[in-house]
Amino acid sequence: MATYYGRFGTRYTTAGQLGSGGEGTVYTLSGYNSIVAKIYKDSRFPDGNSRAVMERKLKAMLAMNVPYTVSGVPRFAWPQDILYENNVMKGFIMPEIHTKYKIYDMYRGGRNAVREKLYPDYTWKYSVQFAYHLAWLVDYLHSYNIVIGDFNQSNIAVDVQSGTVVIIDCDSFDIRDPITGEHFPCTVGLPEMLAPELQAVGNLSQAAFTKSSDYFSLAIHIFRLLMDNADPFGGVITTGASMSSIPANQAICNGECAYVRNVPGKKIPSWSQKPEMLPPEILGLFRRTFDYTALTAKKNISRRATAYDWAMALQPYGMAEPNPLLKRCPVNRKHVYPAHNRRCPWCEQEAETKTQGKPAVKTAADRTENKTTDRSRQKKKKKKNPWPGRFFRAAVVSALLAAAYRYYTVQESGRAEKAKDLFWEGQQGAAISAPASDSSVPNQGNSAVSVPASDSSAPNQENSAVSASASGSPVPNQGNSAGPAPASSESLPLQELLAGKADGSDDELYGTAEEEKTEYILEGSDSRYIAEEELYPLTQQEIQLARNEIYARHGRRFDTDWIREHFEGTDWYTPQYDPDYFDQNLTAEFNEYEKANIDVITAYEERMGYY
Amino acid sequence: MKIMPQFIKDPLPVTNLGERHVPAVLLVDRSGSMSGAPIAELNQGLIEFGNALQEDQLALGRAEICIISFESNVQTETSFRPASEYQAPTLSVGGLTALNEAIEAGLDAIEARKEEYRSLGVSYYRPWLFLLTDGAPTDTEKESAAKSRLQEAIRDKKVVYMPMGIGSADTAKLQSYYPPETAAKTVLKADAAHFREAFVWLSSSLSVISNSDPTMTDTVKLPPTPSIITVGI
Ligand SMILES: [Zn+2]
Repeated sequence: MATYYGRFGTRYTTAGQLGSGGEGTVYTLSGYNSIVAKIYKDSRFPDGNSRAVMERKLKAMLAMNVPYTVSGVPRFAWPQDILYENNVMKGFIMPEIHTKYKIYDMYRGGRNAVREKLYPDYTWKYSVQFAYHLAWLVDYLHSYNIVIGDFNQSNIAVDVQSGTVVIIDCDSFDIRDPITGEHFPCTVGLPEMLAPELQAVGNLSQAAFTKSSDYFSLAIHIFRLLMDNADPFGGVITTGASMSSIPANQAICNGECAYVRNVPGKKIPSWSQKPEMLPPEILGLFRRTFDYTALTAKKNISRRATAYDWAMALQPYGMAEPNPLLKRCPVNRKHVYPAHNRRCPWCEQEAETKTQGKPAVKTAADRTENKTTDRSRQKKKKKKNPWPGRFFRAAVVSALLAAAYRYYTVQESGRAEKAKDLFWEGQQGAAISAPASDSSVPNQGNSAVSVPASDSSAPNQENSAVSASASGSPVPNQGNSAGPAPASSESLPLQELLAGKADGSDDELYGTAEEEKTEYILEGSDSRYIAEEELYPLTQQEIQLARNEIYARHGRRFDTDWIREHFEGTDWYTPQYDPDYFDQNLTAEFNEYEKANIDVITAYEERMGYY
Repeated sequence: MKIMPQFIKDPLPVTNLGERHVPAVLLVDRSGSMSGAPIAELNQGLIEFGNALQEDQLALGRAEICIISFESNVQTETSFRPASEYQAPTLSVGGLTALNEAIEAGLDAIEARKEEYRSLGVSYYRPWLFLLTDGAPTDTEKESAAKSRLQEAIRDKKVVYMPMGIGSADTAKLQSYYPPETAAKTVLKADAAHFREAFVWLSSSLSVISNSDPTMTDTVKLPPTPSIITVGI
């Protein structure tokens, strides 16, 4: 038991010890319920200056006065007061976070998983919800110009009751004093979470943590949540090199993410979920963040999906069921997955791991068959083509959002808040059902963020049922239709509108999108010079299509099934010429743009190792 | 002669396949000289080790433990299994000290588990080899082979060797298993009475390795040792 004094003389006496970490110990306080004290170990401050810096940083944090409680739930353990003993700064007061669970407990599935005990009905949707909450929180902190920095899995607690995430260890945040302007950089980090630009920095006290580096770590957390705890930079090494001889950081430095691009010598493990399981727009955000090489790593920093991008993309999938974007497996009701999957990816994963004692491994090449080119004229047997799904799916989402938007504008035409504004204020918007709320816990009133949209027991909550139509949304054709969908009770027409599709077969779902025709991958590749940068956001298949598109405009036929099917699905393609005849006689007719663009694309494909 | 029945469990499958694992082998001495208080404390320590593991959930999901005991013979008490499945064995004493054979068995077990990791695409930290012994080896005919194999593994950064001397252990002997060029040939000494704390400390060592990436630097940062453990060079 020890006594400390706050900045203005408040007396705090420690009671019990709650926990101890590398740099300090957390105590409960006698006479206080909702706050605790973190007392630094003296070894935390090797010299008087480092203690003085921390004291100034804590003062700056108090001056920032960030609302750390949103909808009645503390979202991060922000300092409340500074603790002194004989006028020496010893620690600080922070809100108590009533949980011992961490975000990695939500990553981990399986028979004895903690999450199964906490939430017996845990499904993939819960993971989406946690991912959404995390993205939301990062965006919230960033809006106060706070960079998390040391954004690792041990610093993210799970508030089981309210089903949200709470960031602890706020004293390592990267902040700026609002009055003096002094910068207090983050100086610690966990290598397995660090963005490539930070990996090269030997000493993290010299590292520059940024919002962009937070986005990288955020994407890793979200990947683990959505992809059954897979490491985006993990995989089976096929080159014979020992894995421990390859530092894990090298995979991040070189962008060796086999889930978003073909990485020579690396395969996705057979036990892992396949990236195609993810909704295309979410996979697209992973591509933006993880699809880079050692050469393009720097350039890619600005392409990373932002916390806002993530929140907007994830939110619709976290909505309460019946949710037309989700399906529930008829075999195992705990299998929930994005609706574009024709078969249950969880059943497939189980089958995969069961049938193989010594797990064989699927290669990236297997998954994207005919990966070379149509030029090479591979006549392989066609596998299931993920392509039509993508376009149809986007169309369905577009239709859905358009319907929601139309409904909204009719009903609420007076209100024109942007989704983002609503999104900020947990009290008003940010509607998503937190995991706890699905288990029919009635007293969810304390947290607007965790009110399920379809739960009529909370009618006074203004939920933006489908607010993914904000400008940041990756859904096509929705660019400017910002506007939240109706509140929970009013969202029923939308639900009804889509009810048939929610329960319907895949074909029904896809069938609604017939009017969607795929247009050009690279518009105008016959009338302008394509910049290499335009290829960066494209997948390997898209780039392959973009090259073949130039041939297709002239009526060349294609032998490769999925390429032929893609072009036959467009309204501009007229197949005329035999491929061999075309290649021998007609390529000379390409104009200067087309020739140059083929060269640019081919060179890029070669450099990316797509051949 | 065997006091314990043969008790070899099959390795259990790796869990949390997407996380970076820490394989750790505990080589424990149950030779005749361990009888009495030392073996009782060793058994209690193995229980405490399990309890200590439970306190760090991140480490619990990443560490994998294999326990190999040795006296005249070498015996696998529990094959590699996730730390969450850890069950403390109860050891009894008798016989000589087949320490060198145990080292070979420990390195074999590590190699086999690593092979499994590779085929599954599971990444891993440098494996740990803990050696808990109170006496000098008696299988001296195997010493030079075991020693050079272990030295090479340490040199190639394939294993972290962590000898712990019990009671009047021959510290110089345990140090001789390090490569000659190793500057700090750490041997941790623990009194039999303090085994329990030693195991708690081992567990927190695993937590640290689970929480940090040793590939960043060559040295592994261990938590401060409890006062009762004196670090000898
Ligand atoms: Zn299923």
